[in-house]
Amino acid sequence: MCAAESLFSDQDKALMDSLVFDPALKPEYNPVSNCLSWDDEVPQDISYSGLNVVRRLWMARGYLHKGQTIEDHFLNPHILRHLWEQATDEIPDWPGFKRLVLNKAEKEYFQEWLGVENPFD
Amino acid sequence: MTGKADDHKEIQKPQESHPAPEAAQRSGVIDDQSKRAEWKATQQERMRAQEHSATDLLHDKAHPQPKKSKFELVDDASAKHDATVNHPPDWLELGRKLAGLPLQTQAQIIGNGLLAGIEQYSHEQREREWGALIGTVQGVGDTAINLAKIADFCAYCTIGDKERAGKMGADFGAALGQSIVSGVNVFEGAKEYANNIQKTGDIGKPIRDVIALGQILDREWEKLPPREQERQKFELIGQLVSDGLIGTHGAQAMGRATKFTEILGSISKAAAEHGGQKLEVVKKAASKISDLTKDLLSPELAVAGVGKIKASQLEKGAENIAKSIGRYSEYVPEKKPLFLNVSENRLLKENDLALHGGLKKLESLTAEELEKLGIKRFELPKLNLWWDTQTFSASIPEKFAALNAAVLEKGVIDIVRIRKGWLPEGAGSHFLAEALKAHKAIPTKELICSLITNPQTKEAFEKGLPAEESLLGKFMIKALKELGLKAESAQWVKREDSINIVIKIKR
Repeated sequence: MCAAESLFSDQDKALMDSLVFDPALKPEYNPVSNCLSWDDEVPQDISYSGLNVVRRLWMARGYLHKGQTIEDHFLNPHILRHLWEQATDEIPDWPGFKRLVLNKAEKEYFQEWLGVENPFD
Repeated sequence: MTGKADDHKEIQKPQESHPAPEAAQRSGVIDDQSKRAEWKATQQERMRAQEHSATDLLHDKAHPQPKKSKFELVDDASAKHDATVNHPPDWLELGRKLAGLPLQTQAQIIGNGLLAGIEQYSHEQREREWGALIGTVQGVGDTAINLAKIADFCAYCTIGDKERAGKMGADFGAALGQSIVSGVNVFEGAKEYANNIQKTGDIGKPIRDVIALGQILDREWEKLPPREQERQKFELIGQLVSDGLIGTHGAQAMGRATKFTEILGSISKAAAEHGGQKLEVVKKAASKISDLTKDLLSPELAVAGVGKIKASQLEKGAENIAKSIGRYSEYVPEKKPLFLNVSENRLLKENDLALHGGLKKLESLTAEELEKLGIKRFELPKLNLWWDTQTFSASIPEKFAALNAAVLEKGVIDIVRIRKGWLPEGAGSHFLAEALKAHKAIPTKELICSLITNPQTKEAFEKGLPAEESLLGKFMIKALKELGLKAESAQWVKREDSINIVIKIKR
């Protein structure tokens, strides 16, 4: 059986491992992927492919924040589930894993933006 | 040793210094036991006063003596403060002269001061260097000590020495307050120094630490509710203006400042230009700044002043911030004839313009005439720009508008995040266009938006509508139009786990 390919290059992995959870940060809403992110969840200078892994983790977590599960993903939940599980093995200390549940203020913030009809223009 | 012997010893010095009158005075009181203690206390007080005077005599202001330790310098500074209650001390004058120098020179002095530390930087070296740059050596010692205290505090925080950082908290606040009101803009100086020096080599840990602490102060300030920020800011402005430390011009600049370090910077500039001369006023302002700074730091520095700061966090934060230096910028968007329907908070569209006689007609109207129509001119606020080796960002923080994107190759841009925030309806496409222009990231080949789960756009995809008819597709095409670009095609690109929109640009 082949070992799964790592999600991150060695350089990106080192950058991801250098992230430090900051409980004081506030979330940022991304209407493109309909999810929240925090500034301490992605390192500077991460490669584009590394960034896209993190974006998928944000997208997956977005389902949890909305009270759904990753299985609710509209295209291919299995891929997203697999990526999530692999990430918990490879980057277990990722600050994003500490934010699976929103506090009251974060929930209100997310709900407010989810309700905006056109968040782009 | 007996009490009598002690008495004898204590009166030796005054007797020697002023033999005749002291002897006469003493002869008049020594027989009166009740007054003897009073006389003794008076003499001791005089002795102490004379010793201080002797110190002052030794401190030749034209040719200051080299200092050997930080403790001598600190004592010297406090003695001077006591002696000049209502006159500006040397450090204040020095700060003002420093503030009048070109920014790069200020940065050089502040940077060197922060790097030097109290003990490594010899008095002679400091005076020679600073004297050459500023034209005076008065107050150099005190100013250097303040910078060293600031650097030390930041370093103790960074290495996680809670005990020493905690003990230094008050000293740090006082040193920062004193530096700022004298015109020494520590945080701006450190940033400017870093910007200058990074081209040639490592900027040095003390500078990174100070910049990191400045960022923490800004972040803590940002956490305060806007009303509380305004209250604190205007309370400080009110005090500084009424005390005469800054003028109305300085007050206006302070009023406009949004970050805490910007507020400190504007105080520093205004105080140097306007300059209240009374030490009490300066001390009061320094103390207020010190209190504000300590308040901002206290939530994270809960245990003995520093308990909640995680050493590793601050250390890594400092590294990240150091990496960011030179990657921030600002951009003033191009002025365009945009008009806002005030009651609906939306930009006028082409059909709205036609209803009002066209764009040219509206452009010819005064603000008052437009107001009668419920319209006003709209300008996109200044953009904050940031970039790293892979991505770039733009934001209008006060409007909560943000863009993150990546350049995949020249002319091919992938939008990672775009949000208009509280900008008026219709202004988001202008924001995207200006942000791309600001970063010189013009999508001359393709504009992509990837990993889309936006519900309205997803719905269009699921219904089989063309990409250009989806919410995001329409928005991207409108932004391209603002850039003078035309879409050749707009396509859905479905991947294993995501949908993307790719717009090819007509050449």
